[in-house]
Amino acid sequence: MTRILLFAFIGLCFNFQASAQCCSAGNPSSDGGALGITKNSLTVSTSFLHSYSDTYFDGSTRSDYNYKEVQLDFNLLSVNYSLTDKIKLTTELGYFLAKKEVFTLFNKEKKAFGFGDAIIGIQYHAYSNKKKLLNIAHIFKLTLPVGEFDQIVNNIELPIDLQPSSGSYKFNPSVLITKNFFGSKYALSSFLSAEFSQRINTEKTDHKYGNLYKASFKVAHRTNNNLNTSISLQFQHRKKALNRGDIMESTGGTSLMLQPGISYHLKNNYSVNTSMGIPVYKNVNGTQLTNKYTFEFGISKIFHLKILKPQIDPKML
Amino acid sequence: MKATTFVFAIIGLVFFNSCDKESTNNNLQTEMPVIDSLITNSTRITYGGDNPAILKCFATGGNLNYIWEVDLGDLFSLNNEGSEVQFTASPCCIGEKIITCNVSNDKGEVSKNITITITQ
Repeated sequence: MTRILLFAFIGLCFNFQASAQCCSAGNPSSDGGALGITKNSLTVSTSFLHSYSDTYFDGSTRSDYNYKEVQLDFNLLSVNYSLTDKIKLTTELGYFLAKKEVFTLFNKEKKAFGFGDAIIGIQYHAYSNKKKLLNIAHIFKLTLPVGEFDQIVNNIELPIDLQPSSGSYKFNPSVLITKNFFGSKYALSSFLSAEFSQRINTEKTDHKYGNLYKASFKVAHRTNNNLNTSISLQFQHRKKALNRGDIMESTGGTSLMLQPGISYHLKNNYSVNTSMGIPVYKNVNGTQLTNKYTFEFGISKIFHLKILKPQIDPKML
Repeated sequence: MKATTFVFAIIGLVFFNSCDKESTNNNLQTEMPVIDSLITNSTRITYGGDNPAILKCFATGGNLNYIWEVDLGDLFSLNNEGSEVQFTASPCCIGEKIITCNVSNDKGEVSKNITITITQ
């Protein structure tokens, strides 16, 4: 039973909600929510995300405007440790293999790479109803801008939206709800989260990213003992950003993305997962570059750590 | 014998290499950099890539290194030394943008700002 629960939920890992909305920087947001891990287990995961954006939208309609294309190749290392059956500590470190902007009009490109942000978090399994197979967990994450925020390429310090790090502390509370059904191969989950960024206020920069609100709904199917297939619908809304106290009118907006995915459980507690993100609705403020597709691949392994017991009976001393 | 020759060859290489470096440094006459002017062909541009602003930073001091900064918008170096750049921006960046030219060498660093307005 434990294994089935574990397997049912493992597919919930690593859902990036990448977007190429203007003026957002740092790691693409990931939900990182998974339940069913037992006490003293350590999950080590790495995932790769490729994202491509080349289409401008004006509100909810496609625009003929053409300025640049953005390509993202991102890697995330994640280590989670279950302190108890209810509390899990999470850490993430992002690395941009390439964050590239191609300016088709004048045939130039800019490219950044390097460490993005580090994220530390805690997940509390707040509610578990074994009769209804309903679980609720609260997750609190803190983004630490440990990566490079002053990268220089060809005599130019890259703008903040191209720097590998977001340069800003972020607080990210979220809720994960999962529902299984007795005798059914289907499982449902929902992930609700918000992201609040600290204002960057340095000698050079005065900027605040718009708050981000996300909601996703996922249906997973245990196709066989090892294979899990899923489809999720991800809603995302970002508020407008502020730069030097002024509202940036062409930032933020709403999008809806469909994300089919599969995960496969291998021997020795390894599992692999892959998914594709396809935007189905976009409504941006002003005119903005929007995401065309995302592709994601990840591998993870769970270690069940043993607690070392004293070799000598204290009563003997 | 072979080993001794090899060791002397390595020492010789290191020695001549360091001599070279020293003479190069001695030949460079640098002074604290001074930015004489920072100019642009346009302080007001429309967003997009059709009409970029061209910026030139004129500085003296010898062995100069140019670094340009803007928080939002797209700068591209137009020459090898980096003293000339072009600036464009997407619709996100409508408004005033402060562009900074930093010039440095072994004697110090100076900077100068110029404001370009991005319009619709």
